[in-house]
Amino acid sequence: MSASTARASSSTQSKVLGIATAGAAVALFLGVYGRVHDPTGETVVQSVFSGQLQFKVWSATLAVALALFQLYSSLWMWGKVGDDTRPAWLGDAHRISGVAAFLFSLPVAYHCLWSLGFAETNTRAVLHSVVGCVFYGAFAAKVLVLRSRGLPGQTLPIVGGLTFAALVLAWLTSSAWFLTNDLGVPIF
Amino acid sequence: MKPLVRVFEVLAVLGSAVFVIALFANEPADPASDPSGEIGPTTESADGQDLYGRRCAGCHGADGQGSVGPRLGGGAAIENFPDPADQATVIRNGRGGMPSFSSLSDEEIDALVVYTRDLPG
Repeated sequence: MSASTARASSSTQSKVLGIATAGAAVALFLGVYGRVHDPTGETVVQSVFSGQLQFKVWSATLAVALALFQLYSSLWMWGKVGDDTRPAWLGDAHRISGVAAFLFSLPVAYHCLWSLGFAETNTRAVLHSVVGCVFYGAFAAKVLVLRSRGLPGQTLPIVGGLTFAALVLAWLTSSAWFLTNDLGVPIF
Repeated sequence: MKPLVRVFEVLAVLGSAVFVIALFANEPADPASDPSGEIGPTTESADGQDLYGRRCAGCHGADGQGSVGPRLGGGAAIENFPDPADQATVIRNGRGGMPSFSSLSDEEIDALVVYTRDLPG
């Protein structure tokens, strides 16, 4: 290995490590905040919905729907699904859906952290709290990956996959649980 | 569509900033700092209704009829918690899917217990 190749490899490792550290810091910050902040138990916003939880459930569900489009559009862009065509709108639609999913998740996360805190009452609540924090850490890492050059090709799919998985798991342990319990939707 | 992408990205940055600022800046008013200084059964009862509306109704329903949280009204709270102290413990520590409300004072929890035991449901 030449000196320049070794330097490039070291630089790439530093970038990946820096991004992973930044993502972990975001997740840790949210987890620590949720743990040390006294939950207010207050309603934040319910908009046209009948209650705070209903607002959260449908906002989170919309975020997951947008994330599903993100997944599909990314697979399409990478040639894993669909035919060889790549419509001109595909890239922009992919980016907008990702940002929109993030925006819809913010009021939900805010109520979780500010009003309820890091829940430890049962396994579902603990898992939800953990993956909720991981989602934002992974999202921050994904944004940094998108804006970095010279990273290994598999970095973006891994970080994107982690972001998607954390969001879906957070939804399954909250909104899906709510829909099952409140509306009798047989998700579980 | 590029300008639209830019708009969404700016919104995301602004949303993130508001999110972080609100986490630290948006603390509810401390009831202890109420300048009227009124304390007594009448105030506690009013506090119970107010607290219930803000903190409990989302799960237990506006009249205690139940939703994702169990029914409390129509005597259900008394049936489930013959001893009010047990109900206060669940409010304070949480149980099952219900989060802990340990940030509430003993007086606030007592007011909630009193209020929920009279809900029509």
